[in-house]
Amino acid sequence: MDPLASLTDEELAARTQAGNHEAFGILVERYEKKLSYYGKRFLRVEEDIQDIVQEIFISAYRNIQSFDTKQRFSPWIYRIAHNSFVNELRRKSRRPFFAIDFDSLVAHPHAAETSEQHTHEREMKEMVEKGLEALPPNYREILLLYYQEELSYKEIADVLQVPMGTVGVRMRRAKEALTKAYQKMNQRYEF
Amino acid sequence: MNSEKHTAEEGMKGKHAAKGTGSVRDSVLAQISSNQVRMRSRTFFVLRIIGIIVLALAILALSIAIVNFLSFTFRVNGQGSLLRFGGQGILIFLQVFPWPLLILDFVFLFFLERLLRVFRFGYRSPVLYLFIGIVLVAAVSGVLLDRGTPLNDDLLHQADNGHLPPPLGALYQGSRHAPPPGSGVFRGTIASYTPPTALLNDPDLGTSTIPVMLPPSGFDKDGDHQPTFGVGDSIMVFGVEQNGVIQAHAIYPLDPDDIPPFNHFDHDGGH
Repeated sequence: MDPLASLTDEELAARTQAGNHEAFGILVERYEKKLSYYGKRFLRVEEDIQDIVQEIFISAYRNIQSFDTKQRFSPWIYRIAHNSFVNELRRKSRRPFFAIDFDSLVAHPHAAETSEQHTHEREMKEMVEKGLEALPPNYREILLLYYQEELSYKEIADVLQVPMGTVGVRMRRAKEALTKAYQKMNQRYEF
Repeated sequence: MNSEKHTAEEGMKGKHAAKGTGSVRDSVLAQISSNQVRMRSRTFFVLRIIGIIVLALAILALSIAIVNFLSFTFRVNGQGSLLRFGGQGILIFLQVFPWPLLILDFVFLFFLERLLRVFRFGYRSPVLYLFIGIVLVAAVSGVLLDRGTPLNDDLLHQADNGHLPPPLGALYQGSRHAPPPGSGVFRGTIASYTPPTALLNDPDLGTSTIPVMLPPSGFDKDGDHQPTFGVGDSIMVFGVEQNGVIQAHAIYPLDPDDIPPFNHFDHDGGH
């Protein structure tokens, strides 16, 4: 077994910073599928996603010296992935360069993660698996980062570069939208 | 030569992998091995952060300088006093307000806000609060710089003596504006006072003096039979000019500390 395979993401990133390419190869293996899955929340064409995933890893390698190995690697690479996919989405949809994110304009009451949320986690994860397609991309993304990538609100705020309160508000709306979509889906199956 | 061929082959291998004929891992590693992709040094990131900080500080300084200049033009032209003349005064104030400078300042502040979002404290703050914070910092610093230091008066002095290089010299020399013609606003210093008239040195009209017919209360504005103003005081008069005489409706003082231009208008170039 490759001794590098037992290292944490952060240790592998540190080895990469020191010039070990193989360590970066392991990071690519660990995140390739995750990022492709994440990319499907933005884009439909598989080939486009693969190209962008490759660009994400190339960008990550170029910028790996800016990564602080005391922090978690996962939010860092998701940040690059988020930017890359959003840029591609913007390019494809010809959306204006500057769009106002109204959720980030003012402070929202701090919606922290609660134990009640964790109780329903399995239920929510199941809903995320099945009902994600019916949601708009910004809701899909936040649910995916929280339930599948298990990032904290703070880490999601770093990935999306928005205030923590915005993450809380968006998460609440995303869950409501997901619950509605899931109920609708189940009703359809019942008939 | 062999090494070049090897590199080219690896590059091709990377490209093929990108199109799905190999794994992403192999493709990425091939591009790294062939030096098609190079890691940026830590120094690059340190320099980039320093560059962003310097740029942010430069934009903030520029924005403070604009607010400082706006505050100065208000002060030297007595534009703030216009607000005391009711609706019409406010209307004139809005007419003479240097809107292009204010818009330019907001453009700078907008860029500064976008720039600060690179930092964690920037993107973790709500957009509106961060922007308001930046506006407040620029506004307070700019006004303090004007009202709390002799910087602008010194610069104006230098500009008047031709010692201030362009573009600052022209900017400061052009900072003094007469109220718009027909606006009903006149400024000057009281040359003489014989109720119910006063003679006003009016630099805005380019004449040495202009008679002012005072309101019925004369200069006894407070009703305590004590003239509020005296010879040598600088005032702003709101009224109608007819046949070279100003029929005053209201008179307000201009703070002597706030009127360097009057020291400059009534001269022939010297102090």
